[in-house]
Amino acid sequence: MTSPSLHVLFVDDEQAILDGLRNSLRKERKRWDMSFALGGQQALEAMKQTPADVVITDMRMPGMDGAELLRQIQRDFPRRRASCCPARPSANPSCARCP
Amino acid sequence: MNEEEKAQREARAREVRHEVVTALTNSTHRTFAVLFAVQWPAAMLLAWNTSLPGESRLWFTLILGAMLSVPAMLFARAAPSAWWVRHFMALSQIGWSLLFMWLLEGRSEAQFHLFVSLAFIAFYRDWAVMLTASIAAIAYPVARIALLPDSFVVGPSAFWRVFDQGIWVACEAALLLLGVQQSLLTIYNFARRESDLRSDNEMIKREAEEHKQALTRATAQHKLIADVTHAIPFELDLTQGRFTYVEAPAGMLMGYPLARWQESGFLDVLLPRDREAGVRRQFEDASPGTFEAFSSVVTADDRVIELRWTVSCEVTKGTRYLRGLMVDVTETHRLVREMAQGQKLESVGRVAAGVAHEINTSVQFISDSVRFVRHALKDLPTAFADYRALAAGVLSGRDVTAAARKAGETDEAADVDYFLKNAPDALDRALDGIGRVGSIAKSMTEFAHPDTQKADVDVNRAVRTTLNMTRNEYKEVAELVTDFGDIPAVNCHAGDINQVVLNLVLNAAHAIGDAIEGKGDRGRITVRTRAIGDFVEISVGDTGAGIPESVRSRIFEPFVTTKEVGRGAGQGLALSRGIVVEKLKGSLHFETETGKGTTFFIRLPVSVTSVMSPSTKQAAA
Repeated sequence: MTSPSLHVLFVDDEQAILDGLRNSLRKERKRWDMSFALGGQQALEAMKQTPADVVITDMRMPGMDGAELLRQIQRDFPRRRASCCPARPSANPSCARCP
Repeated sequence: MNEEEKAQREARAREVRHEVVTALTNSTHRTFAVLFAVQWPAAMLLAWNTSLPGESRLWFTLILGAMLSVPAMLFARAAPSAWWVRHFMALSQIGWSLLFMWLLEGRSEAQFHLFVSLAFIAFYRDWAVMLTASIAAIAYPVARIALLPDSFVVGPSAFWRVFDQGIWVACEAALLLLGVQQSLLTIYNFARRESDLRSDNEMIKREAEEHKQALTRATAQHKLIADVTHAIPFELDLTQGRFTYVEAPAGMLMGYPLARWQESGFLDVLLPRDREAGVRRQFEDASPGTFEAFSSVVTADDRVIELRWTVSCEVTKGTRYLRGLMVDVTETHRLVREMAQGQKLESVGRVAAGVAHEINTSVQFISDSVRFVRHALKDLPTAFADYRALAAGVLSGRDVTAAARKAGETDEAADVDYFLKNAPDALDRALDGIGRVGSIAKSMTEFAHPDTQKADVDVNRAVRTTLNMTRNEYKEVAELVTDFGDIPAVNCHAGDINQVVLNLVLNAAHAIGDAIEGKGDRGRITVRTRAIGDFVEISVGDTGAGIPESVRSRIFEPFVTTKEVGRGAGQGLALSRGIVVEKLKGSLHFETETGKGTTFFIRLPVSVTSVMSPSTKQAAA
């Protein structure tokens, strides 16, 4: 069994969304390492512990929104090729790519 | 009275005086004409009677009479007003007196003719003429004594005769002069009075004309106002319930002939007590002053129109009169209702995206969770089959090592542990999500449903519904704190409360959003309900920047907004106030502090018929 090559961090302000994702992506666990963070603040802490390769975040979140989170990740982890995409298709139709 | 007016009156007085004097002169001329006409034949008769044989007395009298009468009459005809004509006339009459004295040969009766002549001359009311006549009257005896001293037949002496006649003439002349003077004074006074009367009369006429013009103007303006505003003036005798006055358009508008309006009790036809109890009470309770009332009226042809009554109440001799204007506001009210409905739909539109997002979120985790279970159920039967095979092997006593290994691998592949651990949660989550979708759909229905009838509304429930609808609008910027008190129901349309609370919550969210822009923290929206006396108070507070001083006084005016272009047309608060004040008969006010935030308070009167709201009952139980 090969260890996953990609670490993906999912960020959302809705626990139910994260739980749903965790379950439905369970079958991908061999391919990806996945972690889940409730909101921007938790996401930053998770990044400090285990930097993720890809961050998928909801754009509209209370406190720190998705754009702000990605800005901070870009600043703190410049070597990460972190991409982002709205976790929920309806929240924001545009898919922002981190610089 | 100003100088000009005085001068004018003076001039007019002179004019009147002149008129009177001219009239007197003319009538006196006519009097003398008659006198001459009488004296001439009388003198002729006398002359013929006293004529001695051989004397030409008759001829003399005829010729002298003609000389005394004809020129004077001709002059009077030619220049009646000339001053000298009067003198000439007077002298002619004195001449007649002297003629008679001569004919009567100095008898004392002849003296009376002279006195009477002087009296007639006084008719001219001209003291100069009087003077001329008097001098002439006195001059005659003087001349006679000087020229014909023997002609006096009787009497003591010539001197005394002259003196006697002179004194009497002088006395009479003096008296007549006095009379003339007084008469003139009377004429002057009369003239002044007449002048005043005429001036006053003219002034009154002028004022009447001005009033008439003002009235015409006012009537025209009144008509214009009535035409433009379609306002119908009326006067209502409340004691008899009849219209003592109403303008013609009322008949056309409502189809009742004007005569019916004047009938006693017509008010009961127009505004029946049972149907229009509110406005009838307003009319009957009216105290002197002005007020406004609204009513529906069923017209003669069964249309329903809405009227706005602007009424001023007056009590005269025990009768209560209402005077004012009635205006057909059917169309206006329809537009207002449409506008309110429009704003309601706009509010729904404003939250629609958020509601859709809410639903989408739920749908996503519902489908994720269901898909997880569905996916697991594809693998589970394989694992189950392997375990069954293993069990069958064990029972049959065969070697089950291979079967056990296979079952273990399938178990591993199917992730059975994870499934068993997470499936219940996933299904709970799906159910929860379905609940959320259901609840928001219900809120949406409750919110947007057009209320047709007033009902006892559970305010707490209405507020919850609205908060549910708007959650997505505030949850990113603010946490929500609610404090629902024990409150009685309010008899109203729930939609009205929903709409007002929605506007306030959206405003609160915007205010907080602006205040925390780029700061990364959240604000707080506090929604409270509580009972205060006969009112239910709903307050919506935010921790925004507060309302700027400059717009505080105008915040409820339409088109006043603190938001940037595109985020609101400034209609929300204006319409909210309209709804709260006019429809719910409550009040809407706010407290604000710069940098701290704003709290809006809605106060709604509790209906008499209201009962405890269901939620309150539960809370109480």
